[in-house]
Amino acid sequence: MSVPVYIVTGFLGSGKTTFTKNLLSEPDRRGLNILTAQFESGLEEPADDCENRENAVFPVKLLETRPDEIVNELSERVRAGIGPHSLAPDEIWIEWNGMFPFERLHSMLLRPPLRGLCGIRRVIHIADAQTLGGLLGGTGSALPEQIASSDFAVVRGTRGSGELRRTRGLLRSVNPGMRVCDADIFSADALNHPRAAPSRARFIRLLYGRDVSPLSAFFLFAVTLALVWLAAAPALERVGVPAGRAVNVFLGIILQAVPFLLIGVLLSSAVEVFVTRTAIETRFPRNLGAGMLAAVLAGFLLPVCDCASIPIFRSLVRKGVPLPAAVTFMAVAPVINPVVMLSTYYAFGGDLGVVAGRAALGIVSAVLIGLTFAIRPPRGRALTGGGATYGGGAEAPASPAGKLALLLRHAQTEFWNVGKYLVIGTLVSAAIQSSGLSLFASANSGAGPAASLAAMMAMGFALSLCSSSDAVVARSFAGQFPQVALMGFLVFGPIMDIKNAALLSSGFTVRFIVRLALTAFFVCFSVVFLRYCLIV
Amino acid sequence: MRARGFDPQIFLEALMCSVFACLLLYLAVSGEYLLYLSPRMRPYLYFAATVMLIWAAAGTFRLFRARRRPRCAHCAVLLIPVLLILIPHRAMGAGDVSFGYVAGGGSGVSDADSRQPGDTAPGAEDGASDPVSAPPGLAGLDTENRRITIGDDDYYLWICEIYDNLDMYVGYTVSVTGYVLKGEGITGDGEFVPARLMMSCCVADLVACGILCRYDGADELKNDEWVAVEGVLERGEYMGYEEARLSAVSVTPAEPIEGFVYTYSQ
Repeated sequence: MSVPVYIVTGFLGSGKTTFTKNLLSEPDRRGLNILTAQFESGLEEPADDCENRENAVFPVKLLETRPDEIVNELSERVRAGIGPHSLAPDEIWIEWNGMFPFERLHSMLLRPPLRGLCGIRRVIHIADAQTLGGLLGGTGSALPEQIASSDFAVVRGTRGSGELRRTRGLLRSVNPGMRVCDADIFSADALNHPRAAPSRARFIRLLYGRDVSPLSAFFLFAVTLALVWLAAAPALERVGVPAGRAVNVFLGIILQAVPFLLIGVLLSSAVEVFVTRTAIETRFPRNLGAGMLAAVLAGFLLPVCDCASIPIFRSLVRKGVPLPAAVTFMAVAPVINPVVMLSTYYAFGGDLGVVAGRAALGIVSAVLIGLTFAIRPPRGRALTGGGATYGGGAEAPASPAGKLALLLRHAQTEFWNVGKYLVIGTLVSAAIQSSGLSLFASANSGAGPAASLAAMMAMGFALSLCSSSDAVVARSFAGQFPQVALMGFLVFGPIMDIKNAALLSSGFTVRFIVRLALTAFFVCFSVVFLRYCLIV
Repeated sequence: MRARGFDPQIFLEALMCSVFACLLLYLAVSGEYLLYLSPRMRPYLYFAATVMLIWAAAGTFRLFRARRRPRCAHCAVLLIPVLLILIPHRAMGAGDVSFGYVAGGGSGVSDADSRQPGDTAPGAEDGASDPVSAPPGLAGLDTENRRITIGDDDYYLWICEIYDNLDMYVGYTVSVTGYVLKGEGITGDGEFVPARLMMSCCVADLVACGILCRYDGADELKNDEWVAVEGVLERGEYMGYEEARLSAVSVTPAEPIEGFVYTYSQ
């Protein structure tokens, strides 16, 4: 039977040994035969001095030069057993220094003869709240990789719950869904603390509990989902909820959005892989006006709708394009590109006034929205960190073939990452469309232009249509709404809707998205209202 | 040196990409995609399927590199659409679209400068008596008997053509099949629209499309029932703008037509 291996990672002096010792001295662990291993001379003796505990220390030099020797010696120790009675080990605990790639330890454990003897069960990362931010910024890929490989993080040195939350956010930006707890719950006096004791108990339960393989969990989820939907859909229809309509709308938007999203992630990955930060810094116009002009031109030339422009927007910001210009690009691209103008032209029966009005008001609104970010730059960060956790390491190959492979992988990672927001946004939009759309229309009867403008903009937000097809829908409202309201729908919908807000949350902070959405709403409202109701 | 070992995450990603790609190809080849998308989206489906298949193939090269925390939850991104496509559901019908309707012209929406009340199409003075030739690509015109039969394939094009060159077609008898659309804010007394659901990009943008029809028995018609209409084209007026009207000669019950009409058929 394979012996479970528990790995504790963290930098020198982060308290790995203290933590391990503390955990293993729990009353119900005392009877277990445990082999511990260290790859540095610890600051503290790891095991208690009793006969069912044993410690193996490997010099760092050996790790660098002859890892095979470590594999052999460790397997010898496992086979030989612990203490004078050669007790078979129940668990192996390894302390791994944060300076070394986790991959190295992983591959050693997967090499025969160790492979058959033991297997990794859990990885715990010990982080210091005071230094983590700085370390993540500066130590290369070893630390993010370690965090990404860990099941738990234990945070030391927090002062107050705000700091724990911040550190948790930082860790989860590298490893989404990671379990994070405060190291204080493991201190000796926390045992009797009313709040620390249950947290500690839960941690221990999760640490030693069995887990389901993610693959079986996924298939179980798939089957459950299918069965639930098979049962729920007819029931919903019977009580008057148009589930069939919702499914159709959802599939329509998704099947249409996925190809454009693919174009978006491929282009944005091309920016990531082929465009360097320095090239942007030297080539992109420093001047605010020239930057805006470049953004509007790029928006016109790239025939992308909102699904594609948002991933590109994110890459541009990450590569250092000034925020006002990048925001202008994101807002203007889906409104003024040639495909959109052509479909507007057809939908409104060849009416150039609507086409020109849409393009002009779109450009004015986008530039104004961009300018607000020049006048008041957002406080704090707009981008959330990391995110690229599905694709693997962030190596930078030099060969064209290597770059192409990286592009493919990066695009795929991006697709999974952004795709989940697309699916969530579309589900919400489909649900709203199937239930309460007539509300918008009936709310309009007898209302003034400002109210119907606001109603149509709200509808544009809820519908989440692709900007290349929303013109026909706007046209169908022509009987019930005045033209000012239709124009608000045509200008605001592509810039901001449920689906776009969801797509943005794959890379930006909530604060930034809310600010962008509100700014877009007020700017579009004012611009359209001024054009139609005050300037005759 | 990378550790060897089966990677369930890569396996699942490649599996989901392949399944999704196969479904896209099936929808595109069988024509079932027309329930959700317009014909012009077909090349995009092939494109998406190709990218997915390349990803799946690239994944197999990394299938045996061990990974410490495989993740699978993100694959739900493709799982949800796949399940919803596979689980049978009804197609969108007339009752699912609750807005107004669109016809061919720019009436009621455009700025007043593009179309003036009383405008007539170019060369319209004696147009009605001229022999009319079918516009390129439009089937169903019978100049001898002054009849137009509007079919599925060029439904929208015909409606646009009739609106744009109304004077050429006034007096023609039009045969068209559609479902009954009438109601407050859409039609007046003794009027209904024999409408079809029209899609320009995807099923979320379905709108009703048709020519308003004057019919004395309109009040007895029920919304969403299918009728075959024969009517004579005449000039009507809507809020000061000229528009096409049908004066019904016969309205008979008809079998519902599956599927939609599309703004761009190619």
